[in-house]
Amino acid sequence: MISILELYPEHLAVNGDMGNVLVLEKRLELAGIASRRLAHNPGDALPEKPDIVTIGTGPASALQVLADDIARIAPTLRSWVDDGMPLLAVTGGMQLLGSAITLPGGAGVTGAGVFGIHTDATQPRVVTNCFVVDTILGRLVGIENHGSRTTLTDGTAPFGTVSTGTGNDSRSEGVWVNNAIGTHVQGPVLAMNPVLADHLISIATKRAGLSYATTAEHDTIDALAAEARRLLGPAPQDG
Amino acid sequence: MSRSAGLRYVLPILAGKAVRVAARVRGGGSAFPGLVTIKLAPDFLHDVTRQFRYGNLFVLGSNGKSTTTHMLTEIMRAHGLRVFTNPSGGNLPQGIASSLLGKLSVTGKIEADIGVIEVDEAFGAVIAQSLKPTAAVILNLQIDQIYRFHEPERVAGMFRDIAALVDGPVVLNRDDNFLTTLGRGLEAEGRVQVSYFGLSDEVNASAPHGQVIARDYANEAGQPTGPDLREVVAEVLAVEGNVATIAVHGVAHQVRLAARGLHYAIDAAGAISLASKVLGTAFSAETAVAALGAAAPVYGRGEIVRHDGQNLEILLLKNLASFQMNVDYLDGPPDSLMIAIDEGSKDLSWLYAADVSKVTYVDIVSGPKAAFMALRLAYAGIPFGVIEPDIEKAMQLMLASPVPASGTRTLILDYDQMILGRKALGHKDLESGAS
Repeated sequence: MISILELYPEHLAVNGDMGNVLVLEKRLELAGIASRRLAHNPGDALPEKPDIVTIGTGPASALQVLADDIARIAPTLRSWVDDGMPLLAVTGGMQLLGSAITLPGGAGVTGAGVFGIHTDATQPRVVTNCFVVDTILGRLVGIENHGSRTTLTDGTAPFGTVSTGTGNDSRSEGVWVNNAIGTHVQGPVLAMNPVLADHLISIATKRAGLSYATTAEHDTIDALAAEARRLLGPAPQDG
Repeated sequence: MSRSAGLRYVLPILAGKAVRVAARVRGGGSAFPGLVTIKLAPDFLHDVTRQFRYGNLFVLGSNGKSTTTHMLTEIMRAHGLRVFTNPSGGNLPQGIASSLLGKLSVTGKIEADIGVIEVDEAFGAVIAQSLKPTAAVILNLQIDQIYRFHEPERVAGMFRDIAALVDGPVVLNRDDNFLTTLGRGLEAEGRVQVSYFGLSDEVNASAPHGQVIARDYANEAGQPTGPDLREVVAEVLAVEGNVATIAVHGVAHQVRLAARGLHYAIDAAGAISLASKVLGTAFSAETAVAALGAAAPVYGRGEIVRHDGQNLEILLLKNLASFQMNVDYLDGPPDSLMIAIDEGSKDLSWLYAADVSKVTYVDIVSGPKAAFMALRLAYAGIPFGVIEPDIEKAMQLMLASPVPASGTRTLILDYDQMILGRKALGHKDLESGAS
């Protein structure tokens, strides 16, 4: 049994990032592994150590109202990531798990400190309908949509480099700490890029003493994802 | 200047009309003639619509604008007014100008008492500066085209800017926190009269996914408590298929709608409310209800097209809220279903925010972006027959397959796919204001 914890699904749901959880569930199911979906909303007690954590993106107003709760759960989240738990954070969620965010109007939000990043969310909006990022897992393709620039601090590693689009600062993209990954890739990222879903699942199942192998049914779905990536733009696939 | 727009408009109007004729011959409605006229005469919209005795009513909202505009038009006509309106889809300045061109004499005279205008939120303030709206209804603020609108707060700002230019009654959806925040601001200002329409608590509670309204996180904690003293003109008490029970000034009426579903009932409540506010003592709820009962569905909004002995129900696929509401109010899992998605949908991530579990099988997935829908269905565990990106071939496949037991096929289509699909059926009745 693999438990997947989604943080703040009612607040960080401005696009389809909840699809990332669905992708993890379905891929586990097709591999014959049971899963359980958990949600954490403001005020909730955090569940026992889950196997995978996800957090999506949302508007600045949502990040602001989540500030108190994220401060409350930050020590636990940091200990989980220190311990090597796989985590996926998308755009606003990544920013909330960073050190600090400056919001439009100048208000500041202190993040969970999982990632050594600082985000200036007062920048001009970037919408990239074919956002291409090169990572150690291969080339990822999706959409980016944010009004922020992110700075990596204290020698924190990026998740990848930008091929087309803006990412953190037009060069580096996202953030990578232990098995926690932050990215601006949306679409949702795991549906568009099964290589990243399988990476997170492989870590989680290994930690749980299970073995994960994809099947012909995964291949059928992944052919659709490859076609969807192709439709977003001219970038060749090598991932 | 006189009531008519005057001689100085003869040339721009003739130019626009000429382009309009050319566009018709070429096939397909177009906003281009309007663009030509506005370029030649920037004050065109303002000057021409000043002729309307009862001014211009604006219809705004993320979803339901076209349907509500149509309903309001029919209600006003049933009350004896001559109405100018822009056809669905033609909600940008050039689209509105194109529609006007078709109704104008060369000197700019138009036979209308009132304008009922569907307005795109992003262009609303610009259009409002020209048309000087005398009343407005705002239907909802839903997550829509995030590649264009980014965050709901930005759209709330657009609505606020447009409302600031309305000189007369403003009618708002009581169940939308962004709009009630706007309403409180307008009430505090005291410049215009604010009233509401909405759903009863029972209807709200029984809707599978509510109205799919965007959440106003910043103001949720600050919503007022205590007795609700707001004026609610029309309230939806029940919806059963395409029959809604709507209380108008506290009196319940059975309203037959052109298409089924809660979203159409809400639109009707919005249309009735604004009509009542604008017409005052001349408003008759019975007349309004009869007008709604006689209204045809708007292009592709729950419209049923007869083709070759088959019924084709056409539902517009636009964004999360419209897709979810259309799926929620299907009679059951369709026994013959095609979904087509086109290039116009830039960011399809919202497909994963939709609950599609009501659908059990999709016969054909079509459109240039068919792979995105197929991928979504695969992750939902919903089987599909074939992927055929070419809508014309997909339509042929669909029509050639055995007619389902229900006799009705359901087509959920993106805007461009709808136009191409209808063309494939041999229908040339394109939306003339399409922009």
